Amino acid sequence: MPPELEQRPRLAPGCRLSEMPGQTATLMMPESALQLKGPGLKIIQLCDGKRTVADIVRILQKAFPQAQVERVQKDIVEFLKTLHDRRAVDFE
Amino acid sequence: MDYPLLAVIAEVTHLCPLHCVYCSNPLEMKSRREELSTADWLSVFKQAGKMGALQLDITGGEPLARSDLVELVAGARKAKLYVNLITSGLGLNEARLNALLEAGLDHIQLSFQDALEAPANEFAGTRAHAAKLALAAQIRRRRVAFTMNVVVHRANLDRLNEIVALAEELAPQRLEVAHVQYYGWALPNREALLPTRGQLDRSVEIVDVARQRLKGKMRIEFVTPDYYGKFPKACMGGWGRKLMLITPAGEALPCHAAGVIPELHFDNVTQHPLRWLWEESPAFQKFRGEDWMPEPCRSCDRRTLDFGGCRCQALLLAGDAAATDPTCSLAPARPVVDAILARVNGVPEIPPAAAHSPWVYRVNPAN
Repeated sequence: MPPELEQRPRLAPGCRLSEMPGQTATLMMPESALQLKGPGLKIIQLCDGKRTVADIVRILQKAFPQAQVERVQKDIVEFLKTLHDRRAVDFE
Repeated sequence: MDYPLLAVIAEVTHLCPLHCVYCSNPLEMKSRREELSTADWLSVFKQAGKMGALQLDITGGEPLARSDLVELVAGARKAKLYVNLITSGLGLNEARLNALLEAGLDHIQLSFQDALEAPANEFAGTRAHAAKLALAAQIRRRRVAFTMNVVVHRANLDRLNEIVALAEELAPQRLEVAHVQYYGWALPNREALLPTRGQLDRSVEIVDVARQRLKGKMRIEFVTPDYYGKFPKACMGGWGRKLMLITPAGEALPCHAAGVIPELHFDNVTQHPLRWLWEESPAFQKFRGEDWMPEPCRSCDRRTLDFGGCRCQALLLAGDAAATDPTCSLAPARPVVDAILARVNGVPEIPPAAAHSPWVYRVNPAN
């Protein structure tokens, strides 16, 4: 299920971001890993269980002012849903 | 190097309190005396991290049988690896669980043998099921990734719905339903373990329905039996392409079962740097890339998807490690697999009660 705008995404237990200097940031998960760049990385960094989906959308809209406003929201919700289905993100 | 090492599978011991009839360990196991020291393992993890490996599977035998497991986990995390513990759970209490998590353990994969206690204990050759249930509840209360793993086969597949229901009760984030792979101890038990085609088809349906229903709650991984497949599995993601397995004694293997291939010699982490073992040791070079491939693999479009299948299975079923995996429908040796399937599909799914146990149980290595 896609998240509601007032839900607070948080990395699931055992999922963590690995950021080593000189290397692509990687979301580490059980038996898998996902390399992250640009907006994807930014979104994951904001999944702290405190910020709501709406907060994240606002921050990304500011960071990417040239992008279409509705498009940013749609992409973020879709990205979070995919990670939720992989059990990498919880919605609180 | 064209192939970066992505993950290391560390078989830290061959000792195990369970005797599962489908254990993937080799029939000839390493004794405790031959096991690598703590310092040896920590050096392996450090080298793997430096080579850019991301994941470490600590497995066995039962890794909890090593008294230095907490130290190994801490060292692996220090080496920047993601640490998976593949365990039966026996030997884990609350204090040790807490210590492992403090050391940085990322993920626990806990095995179950069935949804019901009596058959679960029968397949494990010991009374383990009740302890696993208690342990699952303790794991669930902590912040760690949790996978429930169940190996399925002819004798428990008719309870797959009950297995999914047990998983819902224990509430791991991931459920791994894995059909038996026929290596190690599973091979002498093959006729009793191979499901019928009807059982397999029902299991596919059950998993499909459960996946839809549990989406977002529990992720279900499903490993199908390759004997029934049209094409072979990409064993280990291809020989020497992604994964390295290290035995309790320190030999570096390209596949769990590679020890069955008689012409291979496996070099040891106590004598060579990990990078040399990966990039240059003869065992890893042997079937890397495409030069070794026979027809029909050599000219097949799928050679970049399945890499000709599993070399060990080719040896076991066709008597030649360089043959096309006989589970492939295009393989010259496919009739061997078809004959096995015809045999298991020709007998009733539930055999009449046997006068003696049909199982060959895994035993522990001699001291």
